[in-house]
Amino acid sequence: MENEAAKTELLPGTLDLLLLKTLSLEPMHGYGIALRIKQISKAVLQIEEGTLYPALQRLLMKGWVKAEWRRTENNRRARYYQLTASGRRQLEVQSHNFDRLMGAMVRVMEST
Amino acid sequence: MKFFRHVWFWLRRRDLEHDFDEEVRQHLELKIQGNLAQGLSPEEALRRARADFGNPVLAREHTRQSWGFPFLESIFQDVRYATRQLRKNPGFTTIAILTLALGIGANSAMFSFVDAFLLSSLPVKDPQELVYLQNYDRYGAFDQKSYEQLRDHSRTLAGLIAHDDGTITMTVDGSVSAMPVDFLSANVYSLLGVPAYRGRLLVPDDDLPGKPAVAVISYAYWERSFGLDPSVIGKPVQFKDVSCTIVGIAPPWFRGLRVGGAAPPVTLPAQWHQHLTLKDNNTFDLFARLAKGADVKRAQADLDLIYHQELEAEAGKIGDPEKRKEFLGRHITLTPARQGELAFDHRFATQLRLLEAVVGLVLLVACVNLANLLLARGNVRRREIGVRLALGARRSRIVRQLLTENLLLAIAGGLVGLLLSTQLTHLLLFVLRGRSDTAAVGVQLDATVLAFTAMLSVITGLIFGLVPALRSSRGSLSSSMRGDELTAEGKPIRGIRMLVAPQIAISLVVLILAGLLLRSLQRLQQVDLGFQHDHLLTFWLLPTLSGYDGEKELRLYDDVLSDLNQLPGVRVASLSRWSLLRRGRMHGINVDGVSHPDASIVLAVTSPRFFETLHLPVVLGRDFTARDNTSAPLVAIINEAMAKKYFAGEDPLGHRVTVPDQEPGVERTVVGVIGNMKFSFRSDTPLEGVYIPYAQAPQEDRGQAMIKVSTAVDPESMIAAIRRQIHTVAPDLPVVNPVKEDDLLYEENSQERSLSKLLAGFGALAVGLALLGIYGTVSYSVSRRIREIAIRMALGAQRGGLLFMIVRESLRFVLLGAAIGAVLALAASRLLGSFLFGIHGFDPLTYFLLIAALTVAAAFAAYLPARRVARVDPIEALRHE
Repeated sequence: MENEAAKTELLPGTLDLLLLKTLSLEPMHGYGIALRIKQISKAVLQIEEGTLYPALQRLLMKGWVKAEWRRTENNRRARYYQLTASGRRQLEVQSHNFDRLMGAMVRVMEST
Repeated sequence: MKFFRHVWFWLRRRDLEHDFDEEVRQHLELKIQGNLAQGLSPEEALRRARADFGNPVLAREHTRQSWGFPFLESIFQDVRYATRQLRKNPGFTTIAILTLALGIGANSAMFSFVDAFLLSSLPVKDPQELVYLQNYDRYGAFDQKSYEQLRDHSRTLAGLIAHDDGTITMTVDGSVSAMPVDFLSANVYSLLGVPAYRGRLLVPDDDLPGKPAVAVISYAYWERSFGLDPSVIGKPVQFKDVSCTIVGIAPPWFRGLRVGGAAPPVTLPAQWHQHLTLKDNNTFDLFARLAKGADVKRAQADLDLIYHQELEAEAGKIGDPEKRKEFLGRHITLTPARQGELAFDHRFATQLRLLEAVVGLVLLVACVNLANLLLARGNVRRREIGVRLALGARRSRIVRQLLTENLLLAIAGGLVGLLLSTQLTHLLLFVLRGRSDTAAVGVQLDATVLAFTAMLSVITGLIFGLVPALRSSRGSLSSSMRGDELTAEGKPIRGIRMLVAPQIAISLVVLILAGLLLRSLQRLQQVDLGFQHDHLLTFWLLPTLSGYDGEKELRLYDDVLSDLNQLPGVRVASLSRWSLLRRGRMHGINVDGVSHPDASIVLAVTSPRFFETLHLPVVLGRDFTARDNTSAPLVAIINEAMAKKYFAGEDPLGHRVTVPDQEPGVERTVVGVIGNMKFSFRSDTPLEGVYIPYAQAPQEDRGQAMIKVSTAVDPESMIAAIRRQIHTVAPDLPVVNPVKEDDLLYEENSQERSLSKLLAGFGALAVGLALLGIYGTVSYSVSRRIREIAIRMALGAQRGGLLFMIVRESLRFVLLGAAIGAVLALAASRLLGSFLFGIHGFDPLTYFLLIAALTVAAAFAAYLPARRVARVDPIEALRHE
């Protein structure tokens, strides 16, 4: 695979956060989510696309997102995922936690 | 909430899977399109799309797992696999399930008895608040007055319940019959929270003097005699001179104050007790419910104080200072009574416990058998397990899988056992009590029994399954994969063979207990009671319950007996106040003014010609005659044992005797001496006996009598004629329980008989299982050792010698088991204690015969499969390797 070294594995447990954050902008289908993450992270975050779907199912189960089949702009049928109210709350909690973690990590890394 | 969503997803998992597949397909399509748009070749576009996506099967699997319940599903998987395995081996499965069903079925049947009679509480509100009032005796006995005092003055009770059971003569629709009755203080139903099944039950007002008499009937009686006809409520019935109305039906589960045993047909308010009961039934048992917040100690002090005021008031009437002191020394103690009254004796409880222990042991034998089978099968399945281990199964998973199989077997066995146990309870009740209406005595398959059976099945599954499962999953991978048969005398075989010892030991214990009882019964049957009991018919008359008292009662007996004596087929008829065999009623005696308070005299009250009826010889003097009546001088007849002990060498005729605790101060002149008879099967020597004529008996011994009719023909053929005869003399007097004296005497030892039958049955079951175990072990061991045997043969061993070797190897453990069993039996025979007669717990003959029989049977069970040795062709067997 091309430019192997430039790609980074996701931190464990951050996939949910990533999905919630992506969906907080607008309802999206799976492929759209994959594209969006790739674009925004400038292709640094390499996610095996196959893992997105089990993760989305987990979010569905937890009630943080809901899904429905809709027509795309190109008139194809696709399954759109949308954040629910509890998903939004979850996003806040998780991103807050993530910020704290990152802040701490950065401080530790800089102190040495 | 989360759980419900989970279930909701799980239920829709097919749709969801479809959505998922659709979604993934779309994703890949879009991706390929995108790749094509970037100018890649179709092949490359497809390859990249797939590469970026990763493994779709894995994604799908992960998704599915998040919908499902993986742990539960793996259990389902285990169960499915286990079912398949068991179905593949129908022979093994059938034997295992049947063995378990017998073991578990016997246990749940036995347990439903233990539960009904020994464990369960009264089915009433808050039974733990109930207490039983004991006074001087282990059994409380309170007269009417004490009951009323305690009832009216206690301040620590929510209520006091008076109870006495007895017999009553009831006239319904013109027909009269005697039946059991409960007298209960009328507050009982409201105090215990028992609702009426139909109509109303007794209410406290029913006990107020002057209130009309009302009766409650039991559900079983309603069903039996009135066919569940609701119009029975309001029906008038007659007790002696009391007109009474049936007001209601008690619920089927209520049996008065007893947990096991049948409810009497009729219950009457306690106020009728004194008037309607037999003369010797003049006391109450008292139960109480403690008031809220009252503890037992306070209630006891409170009741004892009231009781003592009553005793002090009564003590003045007692002349003898010793007696008075004893009287005033009485106290009330309260004992918990959540089970109500023990409606059976201690021997029955011992019987149940003993049998419960024995069926437990039988189940253990069954478990050992199955463990055996499984160990053997585990060796057969080594290859299968080896494959699974090689494919990466964890050992714990394999053990779990094997345990699942065993639990499945145990549960199947439990279910079949449950079916068996309902039949078994009928059989058990029939053997124990001579009846089979289990529901009426409270033996039933209730939640407790079901829970016990379920628990037992699981425990059984673990006991017989754990060791084989652990063992099967062990061992080296390579040897099991090779199907290595090299274990000539490997550990597993020795382990299996050793299990024979406990099986034999347990079977022997049960067999010896049964054997000891059978020998006792044999001895009991040989006892010569000293009187002739064939061609003798016995029945009861209870004249006092039909209103015959005083002179009227005496005249009735005279009429009845003189009529019976003229009946064709009757040799002679007479009466006696008590049964011929009696336990416990011994009296002190006074001979010519000399007191022998520690003597143990049997006092009997009889009519003229009683000794003739029993073929007892009049040795000296004369029999009673019609002239020995109330106005004549008081007389007595003594037996030879009495004459020998108290009048050694003298002529006892004309001497005076008194039975002080029965008739204080009443002197009787001895007018005759008769031959001895035994008053119990178990007494070594004939006891001393004093007979007094019925017409001169004390008041409390009146009111009822046992009529003895010695016949020239089959006594049972006379019953109809006798009934007719009594009916013409007294139409309102039922003939109660006519039965051959032989049958009555047979009944005397019924507990020994039923216990020995059941022990013999369970013993046979245990032995059967043990023999099956030996057979299985030996045949397995032979099949595993074909090569060894072939080599030995090739080296010149004789077939006979090899056969003997095989049998001997098993027999070693049989003998070890027998030795252990004999020692255990010696200890266990103490439990039989009062059931044994004429032999000790160590009866050499019983032990020797049973050990010999069991050893021979075991040798035979080992010999049958060992014969295969004779058919081994050494060349064939060795070439096979």
